[in-house]
Amino acid sequence: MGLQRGSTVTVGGPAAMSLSLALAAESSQSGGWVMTVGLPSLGLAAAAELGVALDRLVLVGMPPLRLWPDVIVTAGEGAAMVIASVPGSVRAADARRVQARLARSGAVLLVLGDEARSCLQPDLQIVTSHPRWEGIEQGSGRLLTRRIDVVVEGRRSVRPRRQVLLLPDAAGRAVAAHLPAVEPPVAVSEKSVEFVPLRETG
Amino acid sequence: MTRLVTMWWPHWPILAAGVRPAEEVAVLHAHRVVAVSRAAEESGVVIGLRRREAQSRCPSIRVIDADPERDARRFESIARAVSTIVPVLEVSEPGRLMFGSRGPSRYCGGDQPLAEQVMELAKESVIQEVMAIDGVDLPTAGVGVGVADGRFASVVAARRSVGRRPVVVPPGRPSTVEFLSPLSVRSLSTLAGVDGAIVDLLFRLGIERLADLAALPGADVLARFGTVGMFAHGLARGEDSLPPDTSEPSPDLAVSQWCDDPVVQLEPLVFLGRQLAGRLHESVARRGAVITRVVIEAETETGERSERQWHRPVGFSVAALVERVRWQLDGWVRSPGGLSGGVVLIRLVPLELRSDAGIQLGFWGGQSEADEWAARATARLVGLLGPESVSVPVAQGGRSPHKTFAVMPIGTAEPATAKPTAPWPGQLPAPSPACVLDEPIECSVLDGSGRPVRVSGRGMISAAPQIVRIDGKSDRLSGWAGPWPLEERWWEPDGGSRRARFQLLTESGSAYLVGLERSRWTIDAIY
Repeated sequence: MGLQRGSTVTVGGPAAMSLSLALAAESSQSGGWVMTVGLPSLGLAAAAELGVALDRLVLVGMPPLRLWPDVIVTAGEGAAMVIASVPGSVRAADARRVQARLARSGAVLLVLGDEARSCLQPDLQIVTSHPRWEGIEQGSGRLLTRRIDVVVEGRRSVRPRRQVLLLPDAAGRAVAAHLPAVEPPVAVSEKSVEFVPLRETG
Repeated sequence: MTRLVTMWWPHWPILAAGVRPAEEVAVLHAHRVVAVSRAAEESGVVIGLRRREAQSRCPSIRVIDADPERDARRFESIARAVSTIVPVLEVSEPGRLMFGSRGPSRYCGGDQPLAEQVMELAKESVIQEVMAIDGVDLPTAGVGVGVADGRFASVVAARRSVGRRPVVVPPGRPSTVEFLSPLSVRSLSTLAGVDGAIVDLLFRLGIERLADLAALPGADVLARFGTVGMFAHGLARGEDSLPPDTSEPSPDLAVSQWCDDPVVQLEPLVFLGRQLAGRLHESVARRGAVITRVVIEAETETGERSERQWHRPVGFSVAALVERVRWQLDGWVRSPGGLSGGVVLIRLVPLELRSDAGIQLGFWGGQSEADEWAARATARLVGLLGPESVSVPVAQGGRSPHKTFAVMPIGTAEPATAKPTAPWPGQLPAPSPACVLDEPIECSVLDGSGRPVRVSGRGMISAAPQIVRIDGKSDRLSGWAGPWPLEERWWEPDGGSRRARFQLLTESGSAYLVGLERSRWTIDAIY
């Protein structure tokens, strides 16, 4: 599910947390780190089942609002993906600064919650809706698989795209259903984050 | 075997923080007590306690955070005072230094006069430097000086001499063994850095004193406990060799940096030190090794020199090397009277390597570039928010989603590697809920006629649940499963916990994990 590096994505709706974890799993599996900011109720067992490598997961508590931009930027310098919630309304200038810094460091910022859209200018908006669980009945069975509707809207794309996703599927992972490819939302090209060592001085 | 002098101020951070001995204070690092004042020690607070334990033993205790930089800076004045009689000394940690006794001992007329002189110098410089800075008027006699053959015996002697006269162990193996034999084997882990698990095992096997360990045949110790055990055995027998896998590096590993323009400020110097440390660490890591002992040298344009040896048994990461550079230069640059010129040379010379057994490859230091960057970012996050706010998951196993993984502050925990493999009967089946609520939400679960659903002691439900009510809002159920009983810690006097768990699916598609305990329904997690 190609999320553009350095982009900002909001995820909302009833399956926001699961979908974020599923999105994080991919970069986690390829050796990247995932940091969460202000998500005390993250289900770690679910994260592991969806494929997030827990030895490359760092959980950061909710910072006060004034520190939130710095915390996100710092986390973005160390992680391939930052999953965060917003402690209130972030000032537009701060939000722009955070997004610019993330675009440079190449980390993807996933912001949970529906109110985040108003203060950030996300490159992608993902909204989950209509969860349909299967496997459970009146007094028998148990929760097994879930279908959700996913609507993806890009800042630069014309029409939102819809897709049905199995999250989780019978094997406990997210499938199908590639997120629809959206044309690159930000101007940065697919750059590799190669850090040039500082030149010796003096 | 080298004869070593150790000077040790066991609760140095307390002194460096300017605490009076009569105050009840503990210094904490990563939620553990690392130093206590004498008054707090008298109320039973010891090193290694958690914050809460310390507070329960001594309710009036004041807790301050560890600040290694301040400790190192203050200690530098003592190191400088001692270096008037010893050219090269090794600072093992702020509060403890060590040097070979051969030359200085001849200069002072024997080990005993040397040790006494070192103790005097240390006390004087503490009175001058530390006390003067903070207006602390009570000089503590908390310093110990020990002279003995080998590193371990020397440290033990210094620890013994704290608050008393210096302890000088006569040279030769028999007297060293005699000195060590009554000690507990626990001192191997506290003073010599032997793996605590092995020491615990020894203790459980009834080997409580070093004499007991020394009495065992070496071959059997090796067969049962491996090289670490052999190392411990050697220590107990007074053979203070290097740890088993250390080696001397080739001299070409040393890195140095000349500055064309002399540097006066600390930060640019530390920056240079960082580059050097990075280069050194990389070239050593390429040989599959880590540095355990290093000399940091700096020289000014007018020929002043600062030279210190640093030792870290688990090996230096780049960050740890940079930290030592900062400690040493900070104290030097800020020394009274200052330097007469800018610094023109920094050199890092590794003295001892050990094969990299993987300690460095954990979280800090990292293997891949991504790990390295994550470690740095995490360190900065800790700086921004404090160590309690940055945590990592640790697998611990359990029956409810709250318990399968614990969250531990970073630095205190080994990160989780995988889901615990041991089966937990009664564990809920996958998929696990994505949101595990920190504080369960109260709710009520009703049957078709609006009565609360109950579960009997035998796990039978009174009626099929049909409605869940959260915050006064009712939702009809389209599916439910359970009850799955859970009885934990029934052997405890308060009866432990008896819980019935359900999965509830509402018509709007929300799925909850709910629990019933003592007639209270709560939502524990959301799928």
